[in-house]
Amino acid sequence: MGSFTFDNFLQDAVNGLVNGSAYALIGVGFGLILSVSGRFHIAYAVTYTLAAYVAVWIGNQLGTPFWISLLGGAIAAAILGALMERLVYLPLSLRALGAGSDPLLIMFVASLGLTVIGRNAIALATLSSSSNNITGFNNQGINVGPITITTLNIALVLTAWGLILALAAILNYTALGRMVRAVRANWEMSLCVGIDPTLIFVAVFVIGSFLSGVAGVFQATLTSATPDMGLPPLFYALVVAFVAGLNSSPIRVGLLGVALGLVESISTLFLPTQYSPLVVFAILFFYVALRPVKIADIRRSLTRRRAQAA
Amino acid sequence: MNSRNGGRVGNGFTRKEILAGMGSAVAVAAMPPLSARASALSDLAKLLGVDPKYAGKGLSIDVGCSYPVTGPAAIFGSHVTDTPRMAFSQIAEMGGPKFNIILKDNKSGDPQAGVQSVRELGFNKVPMMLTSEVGDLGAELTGIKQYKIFSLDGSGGTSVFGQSRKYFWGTIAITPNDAIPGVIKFMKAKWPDAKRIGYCGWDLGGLTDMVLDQTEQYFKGTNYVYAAAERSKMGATDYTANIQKIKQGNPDIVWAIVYAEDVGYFMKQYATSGINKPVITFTHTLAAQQIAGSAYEGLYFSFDYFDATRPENPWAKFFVEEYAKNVNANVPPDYYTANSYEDSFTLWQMVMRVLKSGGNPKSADALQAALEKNPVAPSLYGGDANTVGTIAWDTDTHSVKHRPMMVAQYSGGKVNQLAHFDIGATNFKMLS
Repeated sequence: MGSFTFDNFLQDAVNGLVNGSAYALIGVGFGLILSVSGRFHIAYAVTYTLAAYVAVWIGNQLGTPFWISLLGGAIAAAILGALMERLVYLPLSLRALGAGSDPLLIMFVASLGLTVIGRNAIALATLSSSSNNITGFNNQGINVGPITITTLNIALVLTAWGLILALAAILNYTALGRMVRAVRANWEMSLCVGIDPTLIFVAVFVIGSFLSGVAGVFQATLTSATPDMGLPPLFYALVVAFVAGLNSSPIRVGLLGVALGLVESISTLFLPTQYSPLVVFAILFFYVALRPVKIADIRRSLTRRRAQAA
Repeated sequence: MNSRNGGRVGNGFTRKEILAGMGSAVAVAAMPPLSARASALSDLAKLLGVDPKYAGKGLSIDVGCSYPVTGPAAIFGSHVTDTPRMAFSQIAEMGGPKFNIILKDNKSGDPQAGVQSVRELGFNKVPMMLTSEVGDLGAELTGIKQYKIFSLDGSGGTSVFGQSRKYFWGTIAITPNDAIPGVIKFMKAKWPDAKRIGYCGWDLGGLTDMVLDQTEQYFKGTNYVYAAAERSKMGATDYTANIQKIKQGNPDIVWAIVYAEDVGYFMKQYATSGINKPVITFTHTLAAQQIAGSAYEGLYFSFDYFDATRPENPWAKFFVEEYAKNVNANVPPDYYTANSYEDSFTLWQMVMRVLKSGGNPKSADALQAALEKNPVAPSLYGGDANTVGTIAWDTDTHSVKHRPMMVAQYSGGKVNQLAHFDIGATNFKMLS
């Protein structure tokens, strides 16, 4: 636990902004997939990881600049995400709906299976590789007064927010965005206006997986690609998406991600560092415990009292 | 034509005979010079004091290997199983028993996997085992006693929690504990004004508390204090928050008490943290170096490091050469691989001693008694140009009692030795 000084607070706030931007990116992607397709896509961890390894491979084999490796990794993640939807989730979902059962649990189990298979396949494929570092990014520490920030951190924040704002623009101002929102609101009704929800599901898997891939490549650039790297971020993605609300705009989800990063980072001023993930868990716990029931009750109660007072 | 002369060509050889002869000639040409190798093994047998009468020829003995085959440390698991294979092959060539490796996966520190490994070995009545990470962080110790498996741990030693456990012996110095007195002497000499130590170590619960308590005991009589004491998850890749807290403590020196690849991740992020203080760690591996890249430059480390570029004795030299021929010609062996090789020979040493005393070499009790009777064995570490080194154990704690240790710095792409000492900082000597 750090001592509480203004300098430390500022540094933790900057760290929180950086981490929170990463949480925002994965939360937006995960939330988009979940809210539109209804797939509880745990295998999001696999697309996150695959992107990192593809970026490693591109960088090592082709010697490309970092941004090309990043793009390659994110595209690979997007393709894998689309394949998962098209080859696994959609057929299972149709079969479940045909049998009159709820596909949610089936999707969950299928996704869990994909995660286990994906993680182990990546581990087996990369066991003999000597280096899983992403090359091409000259990461430097920059001191601004008492604060240190790295060029990688700056690149991450700008990229994450650039993508989140772009997604918000796509959803709000393009035909694709309108179709995505229509399917999110009611996929059965969207059929009536000529939208094919299965194509929109693939589209959101492409977008969401692309975002996970970008986040995965940045994380692997900070550390190194490992087969297990996708699981911890999945938890953050889930918290961000749930707490922000599944039908929220990407900007709102992103801001919630940043808020989560800030709370987590600043909590280390008061708590030992290893407990900071517990803060995130606590946020989810209070959300689950309070928001659906208690907060609504409190609001209703307050409204009633105000009405009575009036 | 073949049908008429039975396939004979020229001077009466069949084509089959000619092909067989050519094959044999190619095989002989491809073989290493047999006499040189036989001579080297014969010399090694002499150096190791092998008595052919009790070498165990004709015996077949199962040896368990509980190593990280999968999980974050899998890369080390694959390396450390190569050297016992090489060692047991050499032992067989020197007239020793046929040791059969039974590989078990401890899944890189997974206690359940460790328990399962020992249980399976126990059910199969395997009498001896090479294990790692202090018997997979203690999970194997009960099974080792229950199933009577004579076990050597060359990657974690006994640590503190594995001491005095029946049939379990450490074959590497306890880190950081055994190295810290030497490191303190080194720090006093190298940075006389330094006072504040920033600590980042694996969070192993009570064990980490013990390490911190013990190091604070070593600080008595010095000016050293902990500026920060950060705990990280074993196998963590992101140390940003820990490093940040260390920075806030304003340290003069940083101790990174994390191991294997984790050092690489730590250094990679430390390099851009804005702290420019020296970092001392208690391990050094190629994997960590590759992860950190240029951020590894200047890192200090202290432990019983096996320096493959400067083998100290004839056995160590032979090991390095054989490793290059049989395992990896491009990457020299590290201390994990050196220790698992040495441990394989230690098992053989104990088998020979038991045979000499007329005991059962497949009995863990007999093997342990042999080690307790003479707690010294040949070692790759120490020695000189003509004599192999020795490893010695404390028969109460089962920990290593004598081991050449060093403080070194990775710089300019190589390891530069800066100080030598033995466990407890005895015979401390600055080299530069």
